[in-house]
Amino acid sequence: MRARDVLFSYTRILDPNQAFRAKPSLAVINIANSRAVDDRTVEFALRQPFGEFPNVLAAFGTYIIPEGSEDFTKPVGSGPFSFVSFEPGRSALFKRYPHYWDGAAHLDELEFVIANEESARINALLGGQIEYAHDLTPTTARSHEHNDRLTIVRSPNSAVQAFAMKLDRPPFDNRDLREAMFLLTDRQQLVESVLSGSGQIGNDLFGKDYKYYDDSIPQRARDLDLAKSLIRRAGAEGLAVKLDTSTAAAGFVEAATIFADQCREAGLNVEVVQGNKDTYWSDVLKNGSLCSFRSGAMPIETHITQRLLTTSTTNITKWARPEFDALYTRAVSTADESARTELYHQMQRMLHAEGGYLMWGFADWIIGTARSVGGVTDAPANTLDWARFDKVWLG
Amino acid sequence: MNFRRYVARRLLIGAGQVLIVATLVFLIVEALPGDAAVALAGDDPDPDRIERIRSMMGLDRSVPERLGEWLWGLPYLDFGVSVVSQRPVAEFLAEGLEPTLVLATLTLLLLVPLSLLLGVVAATREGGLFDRVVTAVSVSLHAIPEFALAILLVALFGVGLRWFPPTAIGVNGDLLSRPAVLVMPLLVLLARPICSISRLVRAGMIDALASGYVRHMSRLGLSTRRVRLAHALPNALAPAVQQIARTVDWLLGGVIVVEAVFVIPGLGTTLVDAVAGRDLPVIQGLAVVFATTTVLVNLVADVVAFRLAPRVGGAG
Repeated sequence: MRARDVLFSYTRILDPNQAFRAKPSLAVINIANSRAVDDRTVEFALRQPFGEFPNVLAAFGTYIIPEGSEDFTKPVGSGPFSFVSFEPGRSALFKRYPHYWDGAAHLDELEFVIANEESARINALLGGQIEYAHDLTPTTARSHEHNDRLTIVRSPNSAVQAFAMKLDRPPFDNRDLREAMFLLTDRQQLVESVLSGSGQIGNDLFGKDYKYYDDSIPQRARDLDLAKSLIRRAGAEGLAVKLDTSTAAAGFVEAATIFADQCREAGLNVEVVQGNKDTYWSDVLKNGSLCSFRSGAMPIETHITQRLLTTSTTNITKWARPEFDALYTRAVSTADESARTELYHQMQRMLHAEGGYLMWGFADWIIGTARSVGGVTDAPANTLDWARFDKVWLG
Repeated sequence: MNFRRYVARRLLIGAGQVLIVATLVFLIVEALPGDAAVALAGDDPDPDRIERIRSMMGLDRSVPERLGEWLWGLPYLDFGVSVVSQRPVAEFLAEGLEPTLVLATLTLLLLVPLSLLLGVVAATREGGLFDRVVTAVSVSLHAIPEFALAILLVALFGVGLRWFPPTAIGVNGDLLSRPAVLVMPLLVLLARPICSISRLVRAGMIDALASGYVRHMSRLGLSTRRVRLAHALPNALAPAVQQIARTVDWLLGGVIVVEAVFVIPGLGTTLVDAVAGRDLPVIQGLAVVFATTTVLVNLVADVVAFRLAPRVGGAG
């Protein structure tokens, strides 16, 4: 990888005629004024002071490709494995790259095979056809916990589980009602039933244990009486609310059903509406007032840019506060880390008090491996140390 | 009616039917909520980005324009390209067809002789022990849905005893290169058709054996074997042929449940993926394939049935 490749790749992603996912993340770069100092150094010109720049470079979809690449039938990357073959919807085969800068991988070959059904993945693992089964449900994990043919690996804190309330329309434009929702939730019950215990409860804030996470904010606990009185104050007793959900993510429908029961105990008449899974995210971004939500790991800063600023493209809760935007702008342009942390804490206090995300839990990411596989870590899914097949060995 | 004219007329009607089915499928998929751009954007539904993807995919053009363009290509066997991956639809069809054809052919090769044998033997021993055992087993086996049987077999022979590979994962469509992966899918695909077809053969055979002309032939002194195989059996087969045709049609559609459990990348899997991605050209291509096979299989069945026993052929 050379400096020229980096500039070429970012220019490609930022092309106004293209629709790459990473485009909003890289938008802070003024690519025309950025330059290659030498083969190994890139100097970036930014559009504004931006303290979280390293996160930008690690954003989802910021792939570096060799300068001038147009044909991706034989892709060339800079990772620990090199491309051998790819059959869409079936498999992708890679072989060890012996000159990898961070030390060559232990494995000679790495093959990804597609099995959409979870049961097929676990059967293939149990039958010795594969050594690593991706994305297992808590129920499967529990039933194979003591199976001597496989090891269940849980990566804690990998995905936040939530309900999203829209602030720009009734009924959740009412702050009392939002607070009532926070208080009527029995988080422990949701974690126990929906996640089969494979997770921990949330405090309505994204990114538990991540950098800038404010753990000084007290954990919310269920207070049904207070919730009921807030509902009374909001004039929402017996209010009928539709809760949009779908099978877009595992556990959505189960969580929605249990949560609707919890709402009923507080006197809200929540009706679960199951929508189309393939278009779910686009539907709930625009429509409805309450919906199921989940998100994988990402820096807290990214979560804010994508979802909580007036200008955010996927602002599902319609949280739009000029004072919050201003805090964010100040935070990312503050060089002093402790001052920056304090600004992030201020933002989180606002969100905790009156935001639209009811984040009830953090789910483990669960995989299964054959007994012969070593070196698999439990780093949260989508983080740097997760799924590091270059560090894994077969013994 | 002249036999050739009958076949030609049926083919012509069939072509019309395929066209109507494909157009209806196009309109129905168009009426589904969301399009390929929305499905592709997934959990990052940035409206501007969706709009850009939509115009890159050409989805911003009108429905008649896209339908017209697709219909125009059809006579030249041009199925268009996938809006999601830009790969030619013909490639999707060819790749998915291979495993589906392998499974369908092998199933059929086992199904026809086995169910004929079971049906004929049961009929000639009507009420006997063999007949009663076959009846009991086939009625109960027929009641088990494919997915249940598949999961049961995988748990028992794939995972528990490890006799056969539990899935065809990683075989990438070339199923014949590892025949062991075929055993359990074939058992599942055979289970129900073998029951229904052997029952039909048995019933038809019992009817035929009891009919006047068969008894007459026996009186003429023809051997029992000859009477049964050369005279009673062809008449008994006509209803079974229709059922076999339905089975072939079902198999060529890619049995989605069986493909999912055993990870077989056939036409069923191709269809499920294409619908989830709202990949209209691929769905259209599959609709044409499925409609064509249905028309052809039924035509062949009618012709065969007509030849076996002219009175039920329907050609008159």
